[in-house]
This record gives sequence, structure tokens and C-alpha cells, in this order.
Amino acid sequence: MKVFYTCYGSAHSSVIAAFIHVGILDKNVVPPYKKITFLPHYDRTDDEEIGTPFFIGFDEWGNEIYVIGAKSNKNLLKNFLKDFIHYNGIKEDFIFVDTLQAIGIFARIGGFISRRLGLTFIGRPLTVFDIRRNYWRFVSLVENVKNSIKVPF
Amino acid sequence: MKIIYAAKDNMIIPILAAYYHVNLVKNNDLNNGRLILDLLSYKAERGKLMYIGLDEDKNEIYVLNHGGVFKVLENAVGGLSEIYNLECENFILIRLDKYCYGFNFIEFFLKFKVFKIILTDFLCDMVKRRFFEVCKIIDRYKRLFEVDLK
Repeated sequence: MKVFYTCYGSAHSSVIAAFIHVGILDKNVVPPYKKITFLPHYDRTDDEEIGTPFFIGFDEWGNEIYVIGAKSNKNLLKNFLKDFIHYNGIKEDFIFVDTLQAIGIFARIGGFISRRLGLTFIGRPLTVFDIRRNYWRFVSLVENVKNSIKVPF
Repeated sequence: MKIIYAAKDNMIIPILAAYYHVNLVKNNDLNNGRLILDLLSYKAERGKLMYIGLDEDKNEIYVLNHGGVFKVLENAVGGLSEIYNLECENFILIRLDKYCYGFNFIEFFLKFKVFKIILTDFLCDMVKRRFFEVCKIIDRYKRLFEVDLK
């Protein structure tokens, strides 16, 4: 099975959720600032790359974990993914998880300032501040996803 | 090969283009105003691929409402092809937004009886002209695919 964590630009919330899922971020401890900013793809995805699925890793059951940006069109991308897979005769299942529900207003503003305006030195700390503040929401989101796919191979 | 004709929300030209590609309509076939009005009011769900049929070279033809995020879907096609080991060259997304502008505006005024008669003729004429242009593009693509397949 493949799990796609999605947010606006695949740069912040989806990256955090995906790294919690694969176990690189500890689900019992709020990660420090540096650990978050050193994550691959964190606050680095360009506007041109939105829509490209990035592979993050495997979870304990061998499911493939990806992040994908959908701008404000999560349902559209979900529909497209479903049809793309169906019309290519692929039988494998996938889960599409919206991670924007886990973040607060500061990460949204920070993300806009960093990715859209290019002012990384202001935007990035704001996103990290908000993600650390709401870290347990990410953990519970990932736990819910894991509970729903807990099917051993 | 999968060929996808895409536009945002108003699907009249992509659907006609796909029909033309699979030879369901000809480029001088659009005298039926009813068909044009029906297609104008047709609302396709965003992101859903609509299968139209196979062309003479066995290419699958689809129509897609890209909802304004064509680039995102283009990236998704590239990425998903890699993930599922499909050949990226097998998917061709053709954007037809350029030929769809103004239809939403006309659709709005068609709700009023006063404008209906004048606008229906105007709309049919507009669709025919644009469809004719799109047909030329499709013919060019078809020749290209033929060369490619050989």
C-alpha cells in the first residue's frame, strides 16, 4: 500500500507527518528546531514541483510513504490519483491523507512568507514554531492513519 | 498511449476534441445547436478522468477538468508514472483552456430568455470556429503519433 500525505505545497505539514510515520521523528518527543529544518524537503519544495510525489521511506509494515502537494485542490488530486491508478490497471491500494488539519495559522503564514515571498529567514522559524506547538496533533493524525492500515504483509 | 484533453470547468471544447479524435464527430458536423447547449451545461467533476474511447491507433482518449492546477496534475502524472513503473511518454496532456474562454460568460446570460436566441447562434458560431482550430491541432498530433508508432 502507498500512503500519500498531502498539504498545500508538500513543504511543511505533510513532510512532518510523513517523517513521523516512517519513524525518523520520534512520536514521544517534540523534535528540536534544527532536526525539523534538516529534514529533506522541509521548506524546500518549489512552486514548480507542486504535484510531484516525493518518496520519504517505508513504515514498519513495508508501506511506501510519500508527500505530495495539491495546492488548495486536495479532492481534485485525490480524484485524479484514483482514476489514474484505475485506468492503468493498478490493483494496489492507496491512502490520501490531508495534513493541513494539523497545523495552525502561524505555519500557514510562515509557509506563505517562506515559499511564496522567498523570505525564508522569517517564514521558516514561524513554521517550525507552529509545528512544534501542534506536534501532538501530527502524532495523533499519524497514529490514526497507522491504525487504519495496520495490515501485516 | 493515453491522450488527455484538459480544460478548466468548461468542458465543451475538450469533449468535442476527444469526440473528434475518436471519430465520433467531424469538423463540419456541428450544426446541432442542441448538442452544443447540452455540452455547455455539462459539469465535469474536477480531477476525474472521463474515458471517451480508442482512436484508430488504439490510443486511449480521455477528458479531464484540471480545475486550474494543470501544472500540479502534469507533475503528478510524471511522478506517478515513475512510482508505478509506467512510461511517462505514454501520457499526453493537452491543455485547451485557450479555446474555452468566454463560455462561462455566455452560459450565465443564456439563463435569461431575452438573450437566449441571439446568444445561441453566437455561441454555436464561436464553438464551430474554435472547434475547427482544435481539429487542425488534433490532426497534427495524430500525424505525429503515427510517425512515433512507426
